[in-house]
Amino acid sequence: MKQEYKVIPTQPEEIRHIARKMRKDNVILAMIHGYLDENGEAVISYEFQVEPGIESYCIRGHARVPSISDIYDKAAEWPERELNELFGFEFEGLDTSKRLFLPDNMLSGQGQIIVTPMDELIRDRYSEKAGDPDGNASGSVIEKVSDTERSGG
Amino acid sequence: MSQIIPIGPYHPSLEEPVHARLVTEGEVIKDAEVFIGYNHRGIEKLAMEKNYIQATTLVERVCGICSHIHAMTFCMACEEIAGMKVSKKAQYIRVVIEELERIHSHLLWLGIALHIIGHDSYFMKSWADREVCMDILEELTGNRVNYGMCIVGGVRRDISKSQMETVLKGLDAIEESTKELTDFVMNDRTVALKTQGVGVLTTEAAIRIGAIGPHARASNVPVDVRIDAPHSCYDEFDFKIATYHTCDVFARVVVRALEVFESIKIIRQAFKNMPGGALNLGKSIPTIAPGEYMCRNEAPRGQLSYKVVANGTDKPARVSIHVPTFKNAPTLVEMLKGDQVDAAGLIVASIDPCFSCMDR
Repeated sequence: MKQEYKVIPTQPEEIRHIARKMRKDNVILAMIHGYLDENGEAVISYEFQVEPGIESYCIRGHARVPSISDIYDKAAEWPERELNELFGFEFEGLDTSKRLFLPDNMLSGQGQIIVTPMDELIRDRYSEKAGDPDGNASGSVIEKVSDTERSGG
Repeated sequence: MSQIIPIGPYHPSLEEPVHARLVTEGEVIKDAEVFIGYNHRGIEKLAMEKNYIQATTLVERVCGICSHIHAMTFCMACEEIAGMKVSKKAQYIRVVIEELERIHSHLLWLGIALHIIGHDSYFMKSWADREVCMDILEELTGNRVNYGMCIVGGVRRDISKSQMETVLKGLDAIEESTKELTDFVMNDRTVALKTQGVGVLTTEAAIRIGAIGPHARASNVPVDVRIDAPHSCYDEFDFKIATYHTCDVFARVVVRALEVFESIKIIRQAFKNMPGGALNLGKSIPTIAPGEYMCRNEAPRGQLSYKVVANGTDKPARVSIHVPTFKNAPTLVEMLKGDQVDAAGLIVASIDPCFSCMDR
């Protein structure tokens, strides 16, 4: 049996009104997802459980949207903080003074691990370990990792 | 006078790393904060670097208890985007493994809860029953933790008639033993004193914060993906969802114990009505057309969701994983307030947390 999944294009200024209506109807906010599409544009989708399926209110091309954490409590606050950390998306009105997943010292506190290219993450990680701010000592490590990737290991 | 008591991230009563900061007055918890993220492994990032076969193997390692449901949900999301038709037989086999996983997860949690309460004999009994379930999973899949049963397009292995007989015998033993365990927790005075009225999460709070799975059902919220939005072939099985009205730790013990019986019922039906047909659609690396889908499954701890975005290559463009603990952990603050400090360990454990999965 198929779970219905309906994508509804939405504008940032509409999302708070939609969230208020859903909350009033006791609809569960399943999750807030985000990613960057092939053009590098932000995609943020609010997945509401309108059983027996999901209504996905999808905002494209806006990396700054209003927060709905005052409407949906922690059910919205944690996903919003997560997207802020992993992608750098901004939610107006959300307190981002504390980290949710990543340690404070990771990547000098800049985070956004999902959008940082893998080779940069590896370089940053190994240069940090080697104590070389220029990342010179990590060159051999990156080459080794790249060789392993190429050989499918 | 207020005092701050930190619990965790590494603490004898916690199975996994989480940090709770309790603001107390005397022995009473007045406020609490929960901090997560001690085990972030970057699995979502890694999944974007791997092809669909490698990513299936990777996501199965998000959790060491409910590993199959991760691979299954990821595969179902990919199949939906690709428009693949999975055979009924493969769906039934997936359900059997999923329910076996639920049984061993619940027995594991019941054991831990009884251990924290102080009943070590029943903790060992519960884990001995779980061992039977683990043996069954090993018999069916060759593995005890990461079963490797799911692939995009179906399952890897069949279940033979003789294996079904072995499983059914094992289930009879588990059922008998769990009846005894359930009678014990329902009637024991110590269990009642330690769990009744402790860690209360009201029905209203459970809905507002978005609790899911057995944790929500113990707050009398009848949510279950298998019933609300039946995936795979769950609409073909006759089973009930267990709810309880007391909204406390006791309710969470009862709900999980009762769910073991429902899972056994589902597996028996699956074996009785096991259809014929192909196991999978081949084992080559799939290329999936552009599209996105969010698939939900009822994992042992509650609703597990996978959002997969495909871009027409053999690698996913985005894999977003959200485990039940991500939804249930925020309820801890509500549950801890007003309770005694010595109950904090049991209250945290009562959501059946899997913090490592949540950090993924």
